[in-house]
Amino acid sequence: MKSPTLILVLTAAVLVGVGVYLILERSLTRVLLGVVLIGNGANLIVLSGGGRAGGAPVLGVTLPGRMNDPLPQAMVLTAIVITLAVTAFVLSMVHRHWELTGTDEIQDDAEDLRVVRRAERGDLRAEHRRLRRELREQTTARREVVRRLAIEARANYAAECRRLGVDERGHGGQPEEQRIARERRAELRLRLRGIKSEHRVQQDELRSRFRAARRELNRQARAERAAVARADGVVDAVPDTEFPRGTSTIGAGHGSTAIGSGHGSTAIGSGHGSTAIGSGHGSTAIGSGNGSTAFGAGRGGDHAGNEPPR
Amino acid sequence: MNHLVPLPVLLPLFGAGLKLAIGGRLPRGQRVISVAVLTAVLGVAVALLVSADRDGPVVARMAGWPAPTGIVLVADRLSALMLVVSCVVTLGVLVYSIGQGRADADEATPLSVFHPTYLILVAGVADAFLAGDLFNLYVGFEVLLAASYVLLTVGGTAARVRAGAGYVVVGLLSSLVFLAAIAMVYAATGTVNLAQLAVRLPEVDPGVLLILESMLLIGFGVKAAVFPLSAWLPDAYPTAPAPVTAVFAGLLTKVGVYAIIRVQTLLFPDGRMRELLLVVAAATMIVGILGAIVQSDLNRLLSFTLISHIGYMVFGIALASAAGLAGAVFYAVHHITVQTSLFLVAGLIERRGGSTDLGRLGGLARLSPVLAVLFFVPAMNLGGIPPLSGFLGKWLLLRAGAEFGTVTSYVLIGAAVATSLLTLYAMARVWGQVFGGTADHSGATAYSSGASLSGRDVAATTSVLPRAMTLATCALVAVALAFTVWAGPLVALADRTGVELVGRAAYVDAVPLPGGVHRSGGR
Repeated sequence: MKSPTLILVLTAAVLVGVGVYLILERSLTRVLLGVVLIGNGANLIVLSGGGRAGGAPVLGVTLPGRMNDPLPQAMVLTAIVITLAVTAFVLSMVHRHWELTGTDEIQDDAEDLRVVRRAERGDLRAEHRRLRRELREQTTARREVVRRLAIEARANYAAECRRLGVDERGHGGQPEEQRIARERRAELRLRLRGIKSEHRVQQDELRSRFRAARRELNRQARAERAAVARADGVVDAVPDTEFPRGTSTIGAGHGSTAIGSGHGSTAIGSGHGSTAIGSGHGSTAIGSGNGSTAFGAGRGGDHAGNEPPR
Repeated sequence: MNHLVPLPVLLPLFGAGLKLAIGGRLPRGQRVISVAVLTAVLGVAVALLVSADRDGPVVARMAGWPAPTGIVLVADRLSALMLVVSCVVTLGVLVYSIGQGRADADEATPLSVFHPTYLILVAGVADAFLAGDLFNLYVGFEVLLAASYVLLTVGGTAARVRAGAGYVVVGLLSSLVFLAAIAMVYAATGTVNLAQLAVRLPEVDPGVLLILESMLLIGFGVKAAVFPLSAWLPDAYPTAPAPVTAVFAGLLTKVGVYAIIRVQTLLFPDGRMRELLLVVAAATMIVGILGAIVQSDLNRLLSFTLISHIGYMVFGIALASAAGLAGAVFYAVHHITVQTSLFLVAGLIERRGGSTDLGRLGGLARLSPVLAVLFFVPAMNLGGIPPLSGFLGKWLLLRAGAEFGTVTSYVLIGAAVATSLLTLYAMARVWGQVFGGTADHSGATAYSSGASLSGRDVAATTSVLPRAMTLATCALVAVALAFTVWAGPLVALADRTGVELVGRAAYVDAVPLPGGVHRSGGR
């Protein structure tokens, strides 16, 4: 048997393993290194496919029986050249990505964003439901307490009346007792009112907490729709009609778009957006050189000042 | 006839070199070279198809080296047929892109990149179709992939670089899996020549064979975008310029499908993967079309229908009968044409309506009736409305599935019919949202992103579509209609292809091998 050396195979296994680990990173440079390692591992596998090592496969140098198999060597040379070229291409792409976004980390795509947003919204919904249930439970509990307190207070009052020998409306008995009964009744009324208002305050507080949660939920849902729209329609996310109004909020939104999503023409478009708003241009500034001045430092030259103002 | 075989690879490469030598000086000359080269390749491909159909596979030995050591190019019916269709499609897309380049008046910047790269892509596709050995197939794949990396990121905008990053890494990985598989095939058999492998592989241990088969299938499955390996596609394709997306959607996945057909029929005819392939085919169809239904962007929607319909071809391959393969081949031919024309129409829609977002489009039927017809015909074709070729392809596949007659194949027939209906639903939804209703031009006049070949933002929507773009799209739609008119001869050709693929002998006998049973050592 002409078995290849085990060292080649083991090295290939290690290279591929490390490469797979690197490829799972977000940084494009590491992904590239991973690809290079896996490529080298695959090349070693090809090489070991040629069997045991031998002499150079040149007639007159090595006896035909001791020659190495030349075919895998020819194949591995081709594979190396191809990997080299593609590596160069990926490097240039990483550089371009860094030029455009200032980082070599790969961004989430539209589907990723959707999935994440949906999960976040699910969490918010669950929180909302929990709050509502809590509100309901606490409301019923408090109502029960209030009812019990009221009954207790009334029973006390009734016992007092009986003790004083007056009926509950304050009739009958001595004038002195009637006066005391009136006082007790006023106390009772005050107490009942106090219980109720306390209950109302707590109820209001609960309700306002619940409303705040609901507002947050709705805000998130709106933000999600906007983000998905941005991710979907690259340029559509920055409709030119929106620039003149709502300066502060729109400006902030666009600013974060440009940083966050970093799409090609979105980034440019939103770059325009924030520039335009910052410098007080209206919607007429879209597509002019302004955006590229905002991005000028980071971006490559091909957009800077090339395009006539629209 | 033999000396014609290398021409589909050599001519585009030569043309690309010539273009790079000329540079940006003669835009008209550049266009003439592209069109002339692709027309010549089309002529050669037709000649090869006629010859391969009449006299059996045409074989060319490169530089006169004999088969197992040297490189052989083989054009049998399948290769030649795929070559002809790919030439027709690339020629149409080329005319379209020339029209787009002229309309955008951006000849100076992209021409030095786009057109030579496009020709190299065509050379890579041709090399993959003609390759007579696994390693040359790998080289063909790499040539077309490298060209596709450049085309996908042409212009270098952030969106394209983002899409390109995923695409390039996935493409590289699948290539490396393929390369490792080649190494193992060589280690197991001592050859990478397909004809010799067909003779030697049956002697290999079944366990080893299973590893080889699954590694090759994974490598090709990524390229063909078969379901669990298809997630890269909808992220990569939609951001590219319309002609690039169209030619990728039409051709690149089909090269993967071609490779699966070739390997499954020639090297692993025992059908051990049949059940797995059937399940994968059903999953590809259903998951793909469900993805298409929820999309709100036309290009993404079309990308998902592309994945979904790959499932039909995998269905035919999995059946591994002559009828099933004939169906798969016919379906591939139909789908290359129809999917390409749909993406071209999407490019026209973007140009006319200013967006590919379904929510922003509307009323285009009134604005541009020609565009409506151009969309309607291939959309119905994709959905499988009876007289059109999509129906014929599906019918061939369903019939083959029914002949096969196992429970899984009947389940798959159900999945195929459901997918067809859902495709029709998705297309009807696009029709209603894009062409129905009234035009809303308040927000739709935003400049379209990524339409230009150079990645520059195109100024605005045009009210008159560039003539070359419309004509090229019309031509492709007409080609798809011609499949219906000449369905008889085409189905007969597909049947003969299927018989040849199942027979295997024609291919193996055509390649001159020393002794046929020659084995080098005891590897």
